[in-house]
Amino acid sequence: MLAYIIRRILWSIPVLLLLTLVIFLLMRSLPGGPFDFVGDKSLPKSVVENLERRHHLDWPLAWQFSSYVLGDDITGGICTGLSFLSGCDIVQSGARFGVSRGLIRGDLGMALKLRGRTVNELVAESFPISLQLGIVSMIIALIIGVPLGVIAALRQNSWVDYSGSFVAVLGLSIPNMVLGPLLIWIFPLTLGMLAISGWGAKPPFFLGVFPNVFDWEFWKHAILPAITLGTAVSASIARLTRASLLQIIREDYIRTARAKGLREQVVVTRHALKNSLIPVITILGPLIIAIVTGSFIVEQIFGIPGMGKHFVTSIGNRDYTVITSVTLIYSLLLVTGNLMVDIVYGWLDPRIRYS
Amino acid sequence: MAATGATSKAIAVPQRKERTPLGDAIEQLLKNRLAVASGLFIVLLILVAIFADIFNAYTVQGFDTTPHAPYAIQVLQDNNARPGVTSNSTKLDGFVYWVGADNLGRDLWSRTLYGARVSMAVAIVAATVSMMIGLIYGLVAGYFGGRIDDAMMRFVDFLYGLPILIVVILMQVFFKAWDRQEDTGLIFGILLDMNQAMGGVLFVFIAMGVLNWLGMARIARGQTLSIKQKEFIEAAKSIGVSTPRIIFREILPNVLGPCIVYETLQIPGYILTEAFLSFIGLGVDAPTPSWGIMINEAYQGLRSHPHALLPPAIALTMTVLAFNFLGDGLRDAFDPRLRE
Amino acid sequence: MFSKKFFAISMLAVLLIAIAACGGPPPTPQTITVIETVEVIQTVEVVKEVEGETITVIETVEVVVEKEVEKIIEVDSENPDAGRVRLDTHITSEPPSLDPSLATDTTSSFFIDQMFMGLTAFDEKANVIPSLATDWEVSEDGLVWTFNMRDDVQWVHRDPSTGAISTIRPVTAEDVAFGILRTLHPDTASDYAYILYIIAGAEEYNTTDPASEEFADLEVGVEVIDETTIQITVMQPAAYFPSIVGQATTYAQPAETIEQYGDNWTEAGNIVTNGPYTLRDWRHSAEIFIEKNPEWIKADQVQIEIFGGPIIQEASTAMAMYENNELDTMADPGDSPPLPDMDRIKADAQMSKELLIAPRLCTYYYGFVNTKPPFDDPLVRKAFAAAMDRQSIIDFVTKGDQVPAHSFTPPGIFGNVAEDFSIGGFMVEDSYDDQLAQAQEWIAEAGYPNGAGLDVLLMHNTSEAHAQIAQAVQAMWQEAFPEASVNIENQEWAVYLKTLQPDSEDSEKPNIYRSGWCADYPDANNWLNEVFNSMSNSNYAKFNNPEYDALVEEAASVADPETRADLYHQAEQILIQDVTAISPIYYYTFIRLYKPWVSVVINPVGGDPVWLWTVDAEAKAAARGE
Repeated sequence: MLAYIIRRILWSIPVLLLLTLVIFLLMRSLPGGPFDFVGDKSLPKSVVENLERRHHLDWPLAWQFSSYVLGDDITGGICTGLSFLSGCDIVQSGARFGVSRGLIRGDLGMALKLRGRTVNELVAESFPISLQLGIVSMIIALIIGVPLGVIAALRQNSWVDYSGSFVAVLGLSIPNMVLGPLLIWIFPLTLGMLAISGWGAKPPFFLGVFPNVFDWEFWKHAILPAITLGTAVSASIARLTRASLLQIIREDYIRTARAKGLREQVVVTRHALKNSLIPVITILGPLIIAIVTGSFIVEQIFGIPGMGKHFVTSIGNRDYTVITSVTLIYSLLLVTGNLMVDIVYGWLDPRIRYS
Repeated sequence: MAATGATSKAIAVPQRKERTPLGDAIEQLLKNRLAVASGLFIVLLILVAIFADIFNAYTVQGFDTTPHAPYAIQVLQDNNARPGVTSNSTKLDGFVYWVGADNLGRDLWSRTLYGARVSMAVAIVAATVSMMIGLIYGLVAGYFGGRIDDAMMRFVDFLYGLPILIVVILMQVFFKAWDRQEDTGLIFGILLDMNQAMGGVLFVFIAMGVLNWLGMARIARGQTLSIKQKEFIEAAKSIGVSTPRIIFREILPNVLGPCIVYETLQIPGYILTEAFLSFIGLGVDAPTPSWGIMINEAYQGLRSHPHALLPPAIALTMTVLAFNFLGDGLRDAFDPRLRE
Repeated sequence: MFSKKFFAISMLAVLLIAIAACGGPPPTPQTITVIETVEVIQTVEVVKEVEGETITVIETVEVVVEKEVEKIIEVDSENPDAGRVRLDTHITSEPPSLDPSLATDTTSSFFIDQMFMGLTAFDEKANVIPSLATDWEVSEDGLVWTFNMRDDVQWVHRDPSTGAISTIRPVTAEDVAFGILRTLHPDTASDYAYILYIIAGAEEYNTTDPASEEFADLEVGVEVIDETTIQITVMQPAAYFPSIVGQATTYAQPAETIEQYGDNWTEAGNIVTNGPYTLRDWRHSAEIFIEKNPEWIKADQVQIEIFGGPIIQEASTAMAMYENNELDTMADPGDSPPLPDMDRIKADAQMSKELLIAPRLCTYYYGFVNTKPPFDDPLVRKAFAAAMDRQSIIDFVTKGDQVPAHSFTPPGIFGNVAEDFSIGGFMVEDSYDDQLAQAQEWIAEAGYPNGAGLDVLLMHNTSEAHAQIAQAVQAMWQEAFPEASVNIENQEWAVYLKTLQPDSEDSEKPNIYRSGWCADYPDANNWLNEVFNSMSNSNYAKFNNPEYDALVEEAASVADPETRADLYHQAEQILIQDVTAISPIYYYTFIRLYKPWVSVVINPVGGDPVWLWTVDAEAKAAARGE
């Protein structure tokens, strides 16, 4: 098992590196660069050259990538050692700008449009917020989803079950971009409740992530976006809970419990429900990751300064380093999520053996 | 080769027997009223998308004398007309805005109908592309097995690490940037024209399909693995039927059912992705209507004109809902284990 | 076996929630010790000499002296600023930089203008007024400008832990020279460095590789005469130069702070400023607050003590907060009221009074790619320019009481011809029907009756507002030229500019493009010369007219205002009336909402002078129900 996990982690490194390269090249193949314009005006060539030199964009692509991954000093070192390589003269003349210490040392480089800021800073500011939103959405999804699923399963084929299933599919089908504006219209605009936009929690966060949950400010801003984001998830959780509970109710040991003359309520809560929630719990981690990586539109609608917002703005700005780095982080999360599923399944179900 | 053809016909006989579950499934599906209603709704939607011009009030009243799309015509004087208001423009004498008008005085009802075009286009294009790639990939991997299968599935694992939405956004930016390059070939030229007719999103629809075949490939592979053990495949192999023929003639029809079910359930995702792109301004070009754009416009004016949100929002939700119900119905019908 | 694991997982979940619940310290009242300078009346003995006599008298007098005392203040950490005058605004996007050398966008510039001073500034009529400089003179040949500066402006720093604002040292001519040279240094990579190319040696300095040997020998025409006098040499006589030294790129900058903190010198806590306000808090992507600088020269006139608010990208969200009395303004540095709400605002009894519409030094225009057929024919261009109902666009689409434009340079800019309807009058006739008839006549004359045979591509950069104007114009052209085909396409900004670059292929370009220009400084040179000179890379129209070039270049190098005005008049005559290289649509307006308890002064150039604004704190508190 451990060997399997290690192998998976090692395997993901070249995968992520390859992905980084692809995004890196894709971005640079787009027409227009980050410094062709300021606001509504285009810039003279001489000024663009200064800006590009400042950020190593005058380097040949291979060297730029090397600087992003390995850092300026190692790239410079390679050039000193192998000065016959093409483009080394430019690399050495640009070495005076410290742009990046390299991915290998955890440096995601400098943002191009937000002057003087590092991508690490941007991520450190915005990622905890996206994560908080994800966790609150998850909690809301569980609070709605699990009871809905249980009730539907216990009253299988009754009108409760049918309407529950209908609501679940409806929840899955209603898009964030519909639900978000609708909630804004109903709560803050019509009823004057809750906040329209922004994020109530302010850093520093506990352990870098957790906000002060006793602060109403936090909930005032978090509830609506979290419902928007959590509705579809709660629908999947409800369906999963229902299916799993239905399966378990038919298991032998439940039948035995019933045969023993235990009250139905005890059978359900003590035996069936507990076990039926296992598949639900196993998908929590991956679901949070899925929520975090898919939260742009909610962040956009509710003006939440999370990572998705940075991503969308930096595309238009051609902020190469921000886009490449944010994509890399999303992929990292995704790979982690996939790995987590496998590990948790393996842990819970000894019949699954990874080789 | 003629002999082989004859034998393959002969072994098609047991296959006929296999059709019974299909008939069973259809019967089962027809019992599911929600799924049937959803299917009818989707058919209606496709008709609306094709014949949007006929449903369009402007055309009906004969005002469309220009060669460009009628949804572009505006009646500036009527902007933000409320639902049920009669137009005060001389050009649209007596015309009633059943569900109101948008910022530029365009009828929201007609625009919502036209919006079905983009949504149906993405559903069809992306689903077809994704299914084609996923099916072939899965069939090949499953049929050959062994190392080929290993290598192919490794690649699928690699793609699972891609944040698809992000890649689609990047692709869209990329395509939008390049579609003005001069075309060279005839086919490419036709594609470019189609792209323009669709408001500049055809390529990204294809890209969505190209990126979304992973699940399909896994399902097709799994099905192939189980079917290739069956006797009739062994029989076909033993009498020397060519590999492509076995894959496409014998295995494919048996794999198709679950794959169609799977793809139906993917369609809402494509529709939502398109709406999302349009919502953040990376989707179709104005004035082509898309529900995503309309929702975004309505969202901007939510305080003053909340009525503008409902038509596109309901249309989008209903469409996604219909595909989900249909997909669920199909799955229940094709997967006997889920039947009560 | 299952249940054990289930138990473990649930415990973990509970633990996580418990940890989450512990986050953040509970608010407690705090006491802090501050060293404060207070005025104390002291009795001292003074030796006085009585005139004419040699007797010395010892007298006791009372004098006021400053003394530092330690003071313990109890801070209510819930609301440390209770009782201070505060204006709540919103900010439209994260400012890319608060560094005067680097800022390019209006949000950044707005805050920089509150926190820093330049040699000159602009008043509400876009006139140049003294700021750091008290007065200036120019040499006979118009090449050497000497600025005399005031000596009482102080650099200040706000200590983030105590909130105390303390002076560092006076602002000197060295700081101004440092600022200009820093902007021009190639390693600073300032976007707006090119605006300073008028200074002798600036362009060469800015475009030479600093690693090269020759760089060390380069001279820039900026000379510090003494602490309060600076001399700047320019390339050619430029009457508009005083407005150049009102640009943020020339502001005084604190060398030692920049040295100490590098790129991070503009962060709250690091930054040292000299303007009416100083940076109080900048939580990136979340909020910005500035605070009154009590040491500023006119601090006694500054009423608003705290200014700022959250960063909100969606104008509609900000609008809802404004209507909820959570914000005092819908204006710079935030968004204007959203377009879809304009009708409601105008119809609303209260909000229509809060609406403030003021002229803004910008022009919105559609450019024709002059080299690409069929728009290489001036008649076609004129026909399309005439077939635009500008007033309808304003009334029904932009809704901000903009003014229909018939010249490139808007009113308020030196050298504008907006009063003269002999230029571009055919675009703004009283009756649109006349315009339409004229357009149809011209298009027929050009050989395309009813637009037959015309396939026109109109392109704009991706934006809701541009899309709506484009769709309205498309409908107008379709109506005027029913047999023409007019298509709209939008491109994302970066791509759009690449497409329009004068050196891109014509085949990739549209026939008509949308653009706009806003004043960097209020002189027609910034418009007619910097945009449509055939050498300019903002000349997307590829308009190339030697006579025009000669006119605008001459206007840039003469000092006499009348001659210059006349030259710009002739240039506009060619650009708009004779060949109609572009079709101006409207002159922008500021569309803003201010709550009735806020009174403001608006600057068309540069950030608004918040230090002149006032807030009726009582009325505000009452409206908020506090």
